[in-house]
Amino acid sequence: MDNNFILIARSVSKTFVNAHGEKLTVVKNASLILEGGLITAIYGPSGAGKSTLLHILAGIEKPDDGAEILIEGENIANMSEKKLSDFRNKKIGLVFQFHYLLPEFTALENVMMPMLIAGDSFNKAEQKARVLLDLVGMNYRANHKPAELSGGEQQRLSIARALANDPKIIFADEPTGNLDSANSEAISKLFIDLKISLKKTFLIVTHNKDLISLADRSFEMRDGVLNCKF
Amino acid sequence: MKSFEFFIAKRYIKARSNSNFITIISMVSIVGITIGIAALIVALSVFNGFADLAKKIFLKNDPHIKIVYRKTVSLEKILEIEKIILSLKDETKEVSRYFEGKVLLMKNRQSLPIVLKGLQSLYSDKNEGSLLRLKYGSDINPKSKERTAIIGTFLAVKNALVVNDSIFIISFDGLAKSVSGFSIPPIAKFRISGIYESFNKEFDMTYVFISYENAKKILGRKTIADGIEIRLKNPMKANDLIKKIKEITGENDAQILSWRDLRKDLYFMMDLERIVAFIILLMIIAVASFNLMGSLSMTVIEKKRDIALFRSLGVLPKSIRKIFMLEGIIISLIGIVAGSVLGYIICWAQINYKLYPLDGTRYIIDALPVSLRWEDFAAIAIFSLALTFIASYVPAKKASESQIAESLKWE
Repeated sequence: MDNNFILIARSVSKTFVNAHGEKLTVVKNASLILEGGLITAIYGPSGAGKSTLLHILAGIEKPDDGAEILIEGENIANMSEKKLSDFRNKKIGLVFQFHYLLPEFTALENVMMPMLIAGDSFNKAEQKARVLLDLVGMNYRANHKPAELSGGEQQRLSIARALANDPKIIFADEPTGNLDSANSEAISKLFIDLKISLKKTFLIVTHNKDLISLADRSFEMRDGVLNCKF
Repeated sequence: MKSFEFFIAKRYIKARSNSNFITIISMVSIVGITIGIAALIVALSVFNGFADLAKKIFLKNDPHIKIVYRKTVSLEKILEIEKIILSLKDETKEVSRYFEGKVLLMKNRQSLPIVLKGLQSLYSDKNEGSLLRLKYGSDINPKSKERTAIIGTFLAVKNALVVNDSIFIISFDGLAKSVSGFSIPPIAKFRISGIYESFNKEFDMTYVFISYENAKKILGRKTIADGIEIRLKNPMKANDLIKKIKEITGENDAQILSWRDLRKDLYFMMDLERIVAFIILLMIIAVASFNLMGSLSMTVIEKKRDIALFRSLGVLPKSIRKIFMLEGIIISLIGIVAGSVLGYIICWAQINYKLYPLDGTRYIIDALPVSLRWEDFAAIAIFSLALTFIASYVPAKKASESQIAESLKWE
């Protein structure tokens, strides 16, 4: 059985229509499998469609008709908006290049947010968030706003947020794209730690050679076509 | 339990990144609504003040219920009606039969049309007379054979009449008879025994009071009364009493009027004025609501990425809408409460410290009259909330419709 296959994606395409009515296919018939507890990396030149593919797999963008994206046996390509929102909240975690932390909220509150959205009480969410902040080594910054944090700290915080609600998969879009080499290395190390300690599954889109070398599986994407590189 | 939507909305109003001050955008919206609400409350309270003053004066002089008998009514019916009214003693203060008719008042070779009125209390004959505040002289003595009259201050001043002056009265009836019969019209001489003040120029100029018996004679009446005037302990209950009286009398016997019916046009005008002022001043709130709509739209644009992030974290579009609706509603509630308090303080200060005085020698009051009513506060709050609700809905809906991936992708 495909018990260890966390995500199975088949025939995923994405076509955009620009203002002049021209069709542009960004992702061309991509298929991939994510194995549980492994880090899978997608790399390739800018504009190859990596981020779009990641967004589709994470359920924040709709693929073209005919795609099949199975997570725990459910096809997220056909899910209703309500079910999909719930899925994003509980089953996946997202890390972005520009961290996208909420500037009005403290570090602690940012990590609490996915749990509050899931309906947890403030006390429960706060307890869990403190554990996660500890895990990424950010507890000493709990009451600071994102603007008061360094780039590396911001990215750690967004990883802690991605771990809220204990998701199956963490999707990371260029997580080290905005960081210097020291911070990049620290983040890469954090991913490995989390893979080992929490047995999380990662899909990382990146340019970072070190991060690619750390991945258990890697795919190259070029002009919308995904190639397996085992 | 507080929802995360409320948690987020509250934070958006309060804080901007690391300062804990309220944002300028929210502040401008709140101030707009506050000023609008305060203006509405003050303006309506001034209208109330004038309306209350007018009502107070009219209720002092006008009967609270006036029953005018038809020509065809029988004596038995009149007595039956009087019996019913006397049985309502708990509610009534004064009940008087009256005769009333237009006459000509002759003085200094001038003739003035006036209304002559004679009252007879049904409780005792002590109260017979004008029931008005006498400024000079004394009341009519119904027992005395002498013909005495009480006139209004304005009539007295305009025609240089003082107490103990004589006036001559000719009834229109007598005048008509004398014209057809080529005889001298019957003229009755009266001594002015007193001068009253009603604070109503028109009333002062029009009504001259004489005794019930004299009025019957001068006006040439054969019945026991033209009607009945009732003054109540609580004038607001007039309609309840009218209902009871109407149970035994039909339209054929008598016309029954409340104090409101007696000055229907005036009271209607006052109500209309209030409604029009309310609608016009609601425009201030409408403008403030547009302001709120603008600032919320700006917040939605500014928070475009936050919205996309919330959506990616699993927030439903309807919750996004709720966040911005809540933001608008919280802002408007702050404005409504602040405006109500400000309006209340201004009115309270006017009542207690007369911020806007009037010349007491020219007006019967020494300050702009103000009267606060809780119904006004409720109506203003409801209408303002409705307006700001609509104003918040538009940007909130727009926020809920934004696409996640696009906002996250393009920097």
